[in-house]
Amino acid sequence: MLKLVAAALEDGWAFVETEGELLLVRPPYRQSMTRQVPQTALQTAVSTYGFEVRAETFDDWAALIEFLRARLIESREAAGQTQPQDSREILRRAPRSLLLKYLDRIEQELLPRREWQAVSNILGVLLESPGLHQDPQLHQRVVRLLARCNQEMAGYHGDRAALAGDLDLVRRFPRATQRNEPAEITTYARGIWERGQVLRICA
Amino acid sequence: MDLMPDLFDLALANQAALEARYDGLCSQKSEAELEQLARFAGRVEQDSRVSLNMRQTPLLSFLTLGQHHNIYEWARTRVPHSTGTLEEILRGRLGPYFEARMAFDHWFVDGESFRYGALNIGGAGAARYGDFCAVVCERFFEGRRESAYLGSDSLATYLLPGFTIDEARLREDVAPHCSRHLLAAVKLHSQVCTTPEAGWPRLLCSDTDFVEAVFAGPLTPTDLESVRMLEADYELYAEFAFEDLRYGLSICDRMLTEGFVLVLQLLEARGIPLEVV
Repeated sequence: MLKLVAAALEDGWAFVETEGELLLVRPPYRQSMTRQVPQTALQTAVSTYGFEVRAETFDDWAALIEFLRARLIESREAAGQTQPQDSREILRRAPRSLLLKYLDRIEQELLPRREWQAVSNILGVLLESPGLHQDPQLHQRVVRLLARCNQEMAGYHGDRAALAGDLDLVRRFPRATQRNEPAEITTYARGIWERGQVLRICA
Repeated sequence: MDLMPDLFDLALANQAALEARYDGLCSQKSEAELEQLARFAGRVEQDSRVSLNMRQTPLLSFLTLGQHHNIYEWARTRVPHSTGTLEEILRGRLGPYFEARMAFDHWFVDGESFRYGALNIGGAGAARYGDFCAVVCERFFEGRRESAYLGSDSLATYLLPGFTIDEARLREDVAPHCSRHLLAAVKLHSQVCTTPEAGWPRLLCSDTDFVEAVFAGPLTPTDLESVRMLEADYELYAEFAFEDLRYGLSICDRMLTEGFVLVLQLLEARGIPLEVV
């Protein structure tokens, strides 16, 4: 059983009592961000830092988090925070240490997963970062990664285009061409290329 | 009938006593300790600022409305939209802590005008209560009589059971702006002598302890010299932005991300630098 004892609902921050412990939870509600705090923190949070006293109980974390997320959305909508903002601004203004982390992540995670479109978008944003222009080393790394991304993307699309285009189908797919006309196979291959998957959606 | 004390007068009246306490302490220190303590006091006197930790929504509201609201000012804005009285609104918000807040603030003249912050020489302050640390410029306090400093969180330190004020302790600790460094040195002298200088900001102000600043008067965004936030907190928002360019975000995460973008834009528009620490 989880007891919500105080919260700043508009920001999703909450003090929760469970098994004799007082925990502070906040978005995005990861276990690594949940901290045990002393009881004295509750008085300070409410008396000085604008937290509101609450008294709700929840069967499990999923129910509590769903409640907190719903209240956050509700209170921000009520406050009129509905105008969309460009999240890329955050990446543009990120400090160097974070830019380095993101470049590592692009190199080690996104490129091997062939997330070229995302990589291209992110690197495009980073290129507009004011900090990058004063940092030739970092700027070069972004440009290099962008070139690598474009090269890999072009190579991949080239392979796929060749697969669906004019090639020696009889030589590469002898059994298929025994049963179907090359033009039919080409049309079928083009369909797969355009859908981005072998089976039709919901097939 | 006893007159209600004025916290800021008490602070000014305690200046000489604090100097004497500091001098007494210095006479008991070794030469190396004394040098370290004097350097700490000097750093607090020179570099300290008052900071207020805020979460995204209070900061946005401060930057948008152009005015900081303490709990009484906030409650007064709620009265026209509520069926409850001012006291009922405050009771609802503060719950079991209502009596303590009232007991402390109402013990002093004009206690409802108090704003609470912390003395800060670097770092993101008491980030447990708010991920944005708004740093008030020194100019705000120059010539301002209405500022005082207490050894620690006032409600936790100077309130006795039964909601009475520990007057003796409060009178002994309270410092005016010009003696805030002496209060910090007297409070932290033993830790300062054994902590490397890089650790002093955290020693002075952290989630668990701080020198409390109490001040009055309107506070506006033009009174801020910067807003600080922890790199880990910036990273969280940057991760949202990163994921937004990959898979998109949930409504909740999108609202937090867009709220942060608004913070960045408002800070820029008002010429307040964001320092990631």
